[in-house]
Amino acid sequence: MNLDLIDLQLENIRRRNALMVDLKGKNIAVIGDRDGIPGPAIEECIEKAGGTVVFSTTECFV
Amino acid sequence: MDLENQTRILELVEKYGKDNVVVVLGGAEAEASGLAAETVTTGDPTFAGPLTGVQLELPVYHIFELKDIIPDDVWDEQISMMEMVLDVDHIIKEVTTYRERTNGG
Repeated sequence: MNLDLIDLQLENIRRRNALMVDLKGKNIAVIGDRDGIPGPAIEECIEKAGGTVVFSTTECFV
Repeated sequence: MDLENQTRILELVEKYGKDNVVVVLGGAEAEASGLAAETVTTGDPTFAGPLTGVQLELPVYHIFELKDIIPDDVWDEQISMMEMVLDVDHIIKEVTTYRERTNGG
């Protein structure tokens, strides 16, 4: 079994186990991370998913 | 979670009510994400901020858990690069632990 196939199967398992969260109409507080996913990137995702971002920040641990 | 952000979360809950606020994290490490999740569910574990002893029990998710509801093109543009380099499974497991402790999951 090649690695691509294993990756595909792992991705499918992850998707099956994924949460079905409905953000539509919810007030979302975004706590981003400079070394991870920054606030503005999460904001873009949340807004496209129908949520309303009411607070967004990007933490920095340095 | 830094003290200023704890204050802002508390203000949001007072304004919108705890049933109407959802927290989405973007932490790079499982431990830091877990601490942030714990802070908005059972209270600040460092006993330093305004959420010390305050059990908000807010629904909290890491952005990696929300992949299925984000349009693919937006995901690819904003998240996919970091998805490849961070320990996604460990981060999700840590955040899920705290969310489920308060029955938010």
